Formats: sequence, C-alpha cells, structure tokens
Amino acid sequence: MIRVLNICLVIAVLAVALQVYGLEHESRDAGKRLTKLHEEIAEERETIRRLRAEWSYLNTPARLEKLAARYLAHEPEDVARVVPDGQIGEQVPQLQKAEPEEQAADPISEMLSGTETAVSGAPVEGAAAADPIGDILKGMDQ
Amino acid sequence: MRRWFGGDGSMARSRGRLILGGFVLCFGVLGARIALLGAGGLGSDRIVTAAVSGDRIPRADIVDRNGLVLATDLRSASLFANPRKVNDVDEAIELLTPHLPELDAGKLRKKLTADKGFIWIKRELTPRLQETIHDLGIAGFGFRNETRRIYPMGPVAAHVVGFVDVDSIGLAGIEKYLDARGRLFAASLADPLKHRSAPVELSIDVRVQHALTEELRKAVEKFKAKGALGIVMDARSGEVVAASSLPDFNPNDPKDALKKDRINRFTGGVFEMGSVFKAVTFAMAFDKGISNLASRYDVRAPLRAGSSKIDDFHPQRRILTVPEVFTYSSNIGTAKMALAVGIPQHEEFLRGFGFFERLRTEVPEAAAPLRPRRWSRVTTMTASFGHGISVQPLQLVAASAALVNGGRYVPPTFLKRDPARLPDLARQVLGADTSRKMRYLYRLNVVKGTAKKAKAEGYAVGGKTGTAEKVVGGRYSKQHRFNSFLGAFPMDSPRYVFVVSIDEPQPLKETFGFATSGWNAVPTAGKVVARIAPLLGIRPRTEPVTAEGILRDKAGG
Repeated sequence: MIRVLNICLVIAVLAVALQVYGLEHESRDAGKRLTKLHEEIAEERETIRRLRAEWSYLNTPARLEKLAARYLAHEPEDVARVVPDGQIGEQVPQLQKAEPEEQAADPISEMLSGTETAVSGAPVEGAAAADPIGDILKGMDQ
Repeated sequence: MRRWFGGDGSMARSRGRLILGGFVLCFGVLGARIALLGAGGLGSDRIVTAAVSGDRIPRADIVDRNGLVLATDLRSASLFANPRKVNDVDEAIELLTPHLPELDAGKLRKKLTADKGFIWIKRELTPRLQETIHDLGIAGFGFRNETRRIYPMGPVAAHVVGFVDVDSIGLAGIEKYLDARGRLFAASLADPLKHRSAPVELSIDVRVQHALTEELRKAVEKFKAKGALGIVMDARSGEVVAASSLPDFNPNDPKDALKKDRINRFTGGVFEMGSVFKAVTFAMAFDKGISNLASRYDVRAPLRAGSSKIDDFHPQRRILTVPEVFTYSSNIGTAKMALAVGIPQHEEFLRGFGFFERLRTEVPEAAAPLRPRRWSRVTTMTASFGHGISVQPLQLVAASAALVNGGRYVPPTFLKRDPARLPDLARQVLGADTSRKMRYLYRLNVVKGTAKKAKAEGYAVGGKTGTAEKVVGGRYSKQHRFNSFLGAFPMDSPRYVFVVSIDEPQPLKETFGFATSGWNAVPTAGKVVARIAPLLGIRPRTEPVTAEGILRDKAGG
C-alpha cells in the first residue's frame, strides 16, 4: 500500500516539477516581453514628447501670423464691421452689394494655389519645415 | 529507527501515516496553487513597474494656459566615432558631410585618422538627423543619448518660463521655481509612468503674449527706447495672461539672458512709476471719504517740498475739480489730496496694498521696493504722484486691478488658477463705490484726457498715463523718461488690467518733438488692446461706453 502511494507521490512530484519548470519559462518570457513593452512605451512617450514639441513649434504665434498673412484673406476684427443687434436687417443689403467685388478677387483659389506650392515642396518659409527641432536648436552654441 | 518512533509497531505505523498525510496535504496545496497559476496565467496586477532609466532627474513640461508646450525634455543623440574602427575614412566623410554641412571635411579627416579611441563628431543631433545617419550604417560610428531641455517657442514668454543650465538645474523663471519646490516635486510632475502626466500650467496665453511683445518691440524700435515692459492680468483672478520685457532672449541659448539689460522688468526690477501711481492716491482719498468727484483743489501755485518745488507738467493755474486733477495729471492737486488724507494714513494705505514689501510670485526674480526710511511730509507729496517710491510694475498692476474690479485685491500669479480658490485669496481693500469712481476716472481720461490715443474702438479702454523722470547721476533728468500707461478694459466691467511702460523713448518728428507718455506708451497700449481683446474673447461693442454711464451704473461690480 505504502509502495503504491509512494509511486503515486513520485509521479505527482514529477508532474508538479514539470509544471513549475513550465511556469518559470513562461514567466521569464513574460518578463522579457514586459521589458520590451516598457521600452516601446518609453520610445512612444519620447515620440509623443517630440511631436508635441514640434506641434508647439509649428504653433509659434510669429509663424502662424506670417502664414495667415500669406494664405488667409482674413483681417483683424474691426468694430466698424460689427453689426449691432437688431440692425442686421438694415445692414445686410449693403453687405450683399460688396460681394461681387470679392468674388472677382477669388481669395479661395488664391489660397488653393498657395497651398499647392506649399505641398509640392516649394521653399515656403516655415510652412513645411522638414525638421522643426533642428530649427529650434539652430543658432545654439555648437 | 524503530526506537526513534518508540514503542510497538502499530504505533509507529500510525505515526508514519500521520506524517505521510501531512506531507500529502502540504504538497497537495502547493500543487493546486501551481495548477491554478498555470491555468490563470500571470496576473497583470503583479507587474512591478520598472524604474525610470537615465542618469538625469526628469523635469516637468511647462505649458501655456491652452496646453501648448513651452518647455519640455527631449532626448537628443550625439554622434561619436572610434577612429581605430573606421575602415574607410573617405567613404565615411563622403556619406556624412551631406547631412552635416557644418562639418569641415578636412578637419574631419584629420580627426578620423588620428590614433584615438573616441572622438565627438557632432553634439545634440535632432531625432530625425540621428535616424538618417544611423541608416547610413557607417562602421566605427555610434550615438550617445542625452536628455536636454527644449523651448519650442523660443523667446515667447522667456522671462516667465526661465531657463536651465547644462545640468538641467533651473536658473530663472518658473524653471527655478520648480527646483525651489524640490527636485522630487518637479520630478513627480514629470513621472512618465503616471497615467496622467501633469505639466506645469502657466497662466500665460502665448497668443496674447506674442501680440503684447510684438507691439512693444515695434514701439522700442520706433521710439529708439532702451527697453519696454508690458503686463496683462485678469482683473478678477489675478492670473497674468501676458508679461513681457524687452530686450528678451532665447532660452534655448540663454547666454544672452545674463546680460544686465535682459532682466525681467515686470517683477525683477523696481521703478518710480510716476503719474500712473496717482490712481492709488485718488482711490485712497475716495475710500477715506476725504474727496469726492465734486471736490476742488487749488493748483495755482507750485507746492513747496523741502528745498524744491512741486509743479505740474500741464500747468492750469486755476482751481480744478477732482476729475480735472486726474485728466490734467496735476501733481499739485494729487499731493494736496494725499496731504488731506494724512501722512501716516497714506503710509498705512500703501502698506495695505503691499507696496513696501517684495511681492512674491512664482517667478523668483523679485526686486524689493525702495522707499525713504522715514515717511515724511515730502515723501507723502512725492509718493502721491509716484516719485520717491519704487515698486515692481506687477505690484502696481495688481493694485490697479483692485481699484477697478470692485475693490478686491487678488495676489497675482503666473500659474493657472482654480476659480474655486478665489474667494479665499481675494481681500476686500476698497469700497465698491470707490472702485466705480476710479472706473469713471480711467474711462474719462481716455475719452477726453491725456490718454486719448489709447482708444481701441469698441473695447472701452480706460487708464492713467505717467511720464516719470529717471534719476541720472543723482538728479531727475528731463531727457531720461520712463513712460507708462496703466489701464483696464472694458471699463464698465473690467476683465483685464494692463500696464505698458517704455524705458527712455526718444522724441520724434511725428510726435512733434514730444516724448511724454501720451505720445508713445499710450498709443502702444491702444494697439495692444485692439490686438489682444479679440484673442481674450471680449466682444467689440458698437454703442459708446461713456465715463458718465459707468458712474450711473450702480450694478457694475
């Protein structure tokens, strides 16, 4: 009886050992995967930081101002062009009169032709900066 | 053995069984646990977070109030070479130089043929350049990663943001403030393992900051001035939305920042603000019940102050009402007003506004105000129109906010402020009626006083001008001026207060040889308001906002 039990136990020990070995392997793999994922996350975070910095650089007000002056037909808000409440009815006919002139100028097509040159890689200052971070660092002590 | 178990066989057997049973039970439990683990896999909650790698404590990002990055840590790689391992020097040079045009081929050849184990080729490559060079795959070349602080917007708000040294220690501005709060505090904000990163949010709005700086820059150029400063502050919350000081610097290359003329003038310097300071005197006289808008002051004769005389810049030589004293900016009238309040009372009132103490904000550059050790009759007279007492411009702006916002003094801040905290911070220092009178005077001064050129159509600007003579060689000089315009808008219920100061503007032909505030600081301020008001979401109004209307408006804050 004891012998049978012993054999059973030996088999059980072997089975458990095998299982432990498998688990250890698995955990080592998981550990490696974890380290790799952490590295990847760190890499992605770094990329996000870089892109945020580039985004911020591209949003520099001085640069936007230059681009807006070049591609937009917008003008600074002028109180003379603000219509008070309740007077819209009287003011609209005048606005319509002004419209044909604006259409002749066709700012939209100008804008589009402008963007095309930008897209096709013509040297538009600041518009398609290939390396914003490089621009930030430019002029620094080497 | 048998002896050990003692007595007879059956006893020994039962003990053996007991022990056996014990072992079976224990191993059973262990086995079951292993089986469970095997079936369930590794619980993800058990992952031990890896330590932040790197030799440098990370710094928190600094962003503006809209979340645009003003300062961040970026990894940058530096290119080095091991000349002993470079196989083909010519090929290496040929491959590298197109990407690094600033390298000199001859020098590079000399470096690469030297018998050395390590040489730097180029420090601080941008990530894109690093990738390109890495892809060239030249033997014997490698990269070392370093982290450096980058300011993507360059000089925008440089005096507020500050800068760091090569060891990433904050030397000025908010960067220094972060270090003063403790490196670990700064690092905890930047902890990359937190689910939500917490950048330092400034109260600055970069768009407003840019508009203010540009207009100041134009003014400095036009009037050939030494420098200029401007502050725009939320009148209710005390948040500084823009603060600029010219000349400025680029924090990416802060070697200029240490030059003497690059100091931050809005908190790092103190100035005799001149006539703009009269606003405080008027508010005091109203609040103490000494004067009201109908009071009259005799300004026919100059006042004696010790060995010198106090006279007016625009002498009227008659009896002026209080609004006239304000709009003609009469020194005599204002001094008389302060004397009527009382000399110790004047001193106490200024102390209450914190004019005698160094104003502490998050920006560590804070100059201590200057004032005479003994507060005398002459001091009261001169301080009433802003001479003999030097304060940080931000101190005056914060006080001015209280004058127009209904009398609540809120300590200024450069960090975004939670509106829920305001009731605890604000201090009622003036009566609401005093504040209404001050709004009336501010507006009146732009409608028909010395500040007519500050008119930004539709935004109801109001304010006080000031032309202070600077002390040169121990004497007040008529040629060296510090001109300011202290204002607010929209005047019927001010949302923003501001100051624009120009340091030593020169008279021009187009200003008819004048160099007083009305000809330079005031029009500059008008242009600033016209540009920033739409950015700040103030709706332009077509109906006129008259000074008298402000006085009638009992509801206004």
